[in-house]
Amino acid sequence: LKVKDLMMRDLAAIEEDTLVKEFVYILTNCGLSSLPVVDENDRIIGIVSERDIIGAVLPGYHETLRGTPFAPNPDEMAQKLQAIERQPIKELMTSPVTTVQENEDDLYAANIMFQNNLKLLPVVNNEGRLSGLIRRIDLLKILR
Amino acid sequence: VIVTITPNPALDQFYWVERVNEPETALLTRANQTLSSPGGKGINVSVQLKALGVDSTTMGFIAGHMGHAIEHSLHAAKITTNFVWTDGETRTNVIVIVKGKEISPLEVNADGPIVSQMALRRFQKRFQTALKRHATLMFGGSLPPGVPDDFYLSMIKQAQDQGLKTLLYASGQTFNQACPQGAWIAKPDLRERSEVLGKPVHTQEQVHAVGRQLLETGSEIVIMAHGLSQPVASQMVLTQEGVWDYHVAEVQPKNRVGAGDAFLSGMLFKLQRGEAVPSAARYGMAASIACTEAYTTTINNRAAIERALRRVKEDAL
Repeated sequence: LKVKDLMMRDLAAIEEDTLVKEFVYILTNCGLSSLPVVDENDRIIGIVSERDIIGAVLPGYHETLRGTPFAPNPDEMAQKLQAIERQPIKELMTSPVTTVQENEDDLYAANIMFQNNLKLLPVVNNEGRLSGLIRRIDLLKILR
Repeated sequence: VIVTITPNPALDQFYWVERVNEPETALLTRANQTLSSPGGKGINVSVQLKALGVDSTTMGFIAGHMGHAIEHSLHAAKITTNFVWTDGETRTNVIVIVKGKEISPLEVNADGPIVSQMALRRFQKRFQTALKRHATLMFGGSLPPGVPDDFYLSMIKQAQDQGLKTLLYASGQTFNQACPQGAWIAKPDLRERSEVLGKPVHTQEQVHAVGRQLLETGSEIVIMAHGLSQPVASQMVLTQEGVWDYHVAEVQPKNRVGAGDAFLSGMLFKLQRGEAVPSAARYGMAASIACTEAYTTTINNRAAIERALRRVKEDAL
């Protein structure tokens, strides 16, 4: 299968000036855990995930505390979230981004995702513009 | 190349029943057949174009569980979506079709969720990007609460400023507000009110006169449905070069919902391939017939359209 046969044809994306508050709102609605960040031509310039937001409010959580019985103080976390809610997403996004061309094979895409431990892989067309997204579950759908 | 914009999508719930029971007989009516499908004019056109082998992107506002159901269904059909999420719940439209009365189904359409200011701003951003990726934009259907009345007018103007082609298919005030901008193709939806720009469109003469008026706004092609009580409405197509009327004598109707969208999809499909307006309109009419004779809101298949093509009557006026 080609990536374009497998991908979710969703152009869900945000711009680099999208505020953290808005990003969290979109994530809670769309059911994805991360979103590509695009420029005015739909070319991918970054990616931002819920993990990046957690990392911003609880620095070091993923690296040092994930394996321990640690529960962050909800009030403190809410305060920290409020403190960054008007921050543009470009300050938190990861860039550059790993992407895949829509005409590549499914196994190539799977390899990229597993090697880089990615939950979401943006797909680009031959003009370099966002054309879809591959989630891990999209790879598993081949087994149906 | 094509983007369809449906500001107020719906999950269409169809129920085909033998009869609707009277309360004295039974309180419950069971359906023989049901269908749940994403709906709204632009979405229907995207689905129908896909059936014809044409890719498009569909945009609009979605919300809640129904929004997810619509998105999931469109992705399964390999249609590209570029929706903006808003609060609340995408509407559900209910269509009850009684056997023997297929041409007059009970259709109940909801208003839709209230679109937030944030969602409007997001849509405008995504729309600006869409303008750089597409050559043809189709605007269709009602506007949900929260969306300003001049939404289509503003979007069509922005698209025209970039030299893009636009199609407008809407009803009532929504159409009246936007049509002065002179979309490339203008098609008023007359199912709710037989009136355009405050003028009645009951007779063929009235339809012709209003169609002419719409051409004067700058539209290159105007499509006016008439004979709405027939199983498949006739369609008058007006251009500066001529006026043609399309109709069909006999139809086995199963579902009228989406027939107008099918006309537009079929016609657009052929126009995109360089065919002349009358030939494209004939194909649109055939698509409309094929859609009416299927248990779906989309064109059943291309073979059905080809068969229907032989039954299309064309009159040059």
